[in-house]
Amino acid sequence: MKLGASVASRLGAIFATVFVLQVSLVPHFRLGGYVIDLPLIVVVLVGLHLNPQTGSFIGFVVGLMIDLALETPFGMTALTFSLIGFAAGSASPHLAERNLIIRSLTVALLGATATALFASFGVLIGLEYVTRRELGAIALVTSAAAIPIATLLSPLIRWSLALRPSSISSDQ
Amino acid sequence: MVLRRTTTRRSRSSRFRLALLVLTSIVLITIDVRTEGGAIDTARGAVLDALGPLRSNSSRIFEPVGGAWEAVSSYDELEAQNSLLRAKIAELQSSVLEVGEIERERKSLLALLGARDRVAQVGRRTARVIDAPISNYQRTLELDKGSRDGVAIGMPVETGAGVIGRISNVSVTRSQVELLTDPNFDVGVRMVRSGDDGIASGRGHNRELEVSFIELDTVVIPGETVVTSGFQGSTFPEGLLIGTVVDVIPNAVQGTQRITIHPAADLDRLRWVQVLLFYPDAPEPVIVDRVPEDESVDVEPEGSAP
Repeated sequence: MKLGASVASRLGAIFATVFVLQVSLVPHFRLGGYVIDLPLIVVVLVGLHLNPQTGSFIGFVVGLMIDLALETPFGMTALTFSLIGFAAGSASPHLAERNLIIRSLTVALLGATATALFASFGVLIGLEYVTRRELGAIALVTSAAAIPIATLLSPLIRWSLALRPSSISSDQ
Repeated sequence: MVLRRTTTRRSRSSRFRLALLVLTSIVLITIDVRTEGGAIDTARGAVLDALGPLRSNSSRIFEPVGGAWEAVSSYDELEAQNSLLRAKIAELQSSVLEVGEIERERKSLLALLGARDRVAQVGRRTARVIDAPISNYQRTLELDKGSRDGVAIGMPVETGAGVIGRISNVSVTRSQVELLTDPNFDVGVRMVRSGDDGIASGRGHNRELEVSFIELDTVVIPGETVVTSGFQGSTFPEGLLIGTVVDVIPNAVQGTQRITIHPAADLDRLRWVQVLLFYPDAPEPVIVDRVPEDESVDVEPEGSAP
């Protein structure tokens, strides 16, 4: 799927809003003491409507934006998000015509996978950010938050990608 | 057939582009990890400054709501924490008398070593903690004071209870604190009772610190106070309270002891902290004069919030 100028600008506006929410509002509403990763959830949600190539590219760009606001090594979020965007894009054709629940569960599963990926990259470069127990809790919180957020934001994402409201397609 | 070929070609192209993105990310990570003060740090500093007012204001607005939300979402945890704090109060009441003894011990040790009690002379800057980590992997605290307030990288940060970490990143209006539980955190420490020096290292969030290089024949007892040693060139002055000994495990093979210490300061729910304006590389005298507090700070510094 090639993104037209209007789709790209709508996506840009959505991700800019998500970024602002993540740095201002989201940290104050933690679940079990853990921060909900809203940009990750939105990247997966968008990726599920795109092809792997576009999904990974959008994941990379959003990841770089998030990396600027974090103290973790610059590029780690971009790496995680590009891989997860690719995975979401790859899952996209298999989710066509399926219902919203399956889609939300896929977002939850990919969200949990991204959490594990990020922590693993950290360990690979010698930075152990979380214990295994914390990692499990973060994955659980991300998954739990992903389901309602995906359900709520789905219409907005479909609008931004100029998809018809009634059908769910991969648009490849 | 044609469709399959097209699909295969598209799939290869997707993987090739993904590989490029992965490679770019790895290059960026390597550059960031290996360099200090480069373009990436500058860009991050600019973002930190740009987001500063937004984060401060949102913190003021949403902190009370967030507190209520936290009370609802983690009620059981808060209840357990409440019981724990009650037990801690009882424990602290019984150890108040010991503190005086420890302080006398510390003073006498410093006097014995001919060292000045430098801590009291170091200038301090009170800073508000923006308690809103953007990510679960962020182990730093954000402060509302930056280089324009005299804050510099490496400066110690403490509450009334003890050291919480050091400044790891500074922009004009903001700074970030690397907590002493961070796996990258190391500081020279001194066991108050024996006077032996070692290195305390962080082992991760909510975990005790580990002190290495304490010889096997040194007598270390649980409950013993550990302070910074202030070795020459250290970014920490001598005598800052780090914590108390929890456990001692001798290692006969290495001829040392593995000592775990519990940080004296509560690293959770910090609201106000003090940055020690300590410049170890400055020519004598190494201690700077007290810098007047920012007039905008109208709240008395406190330790960790309740």
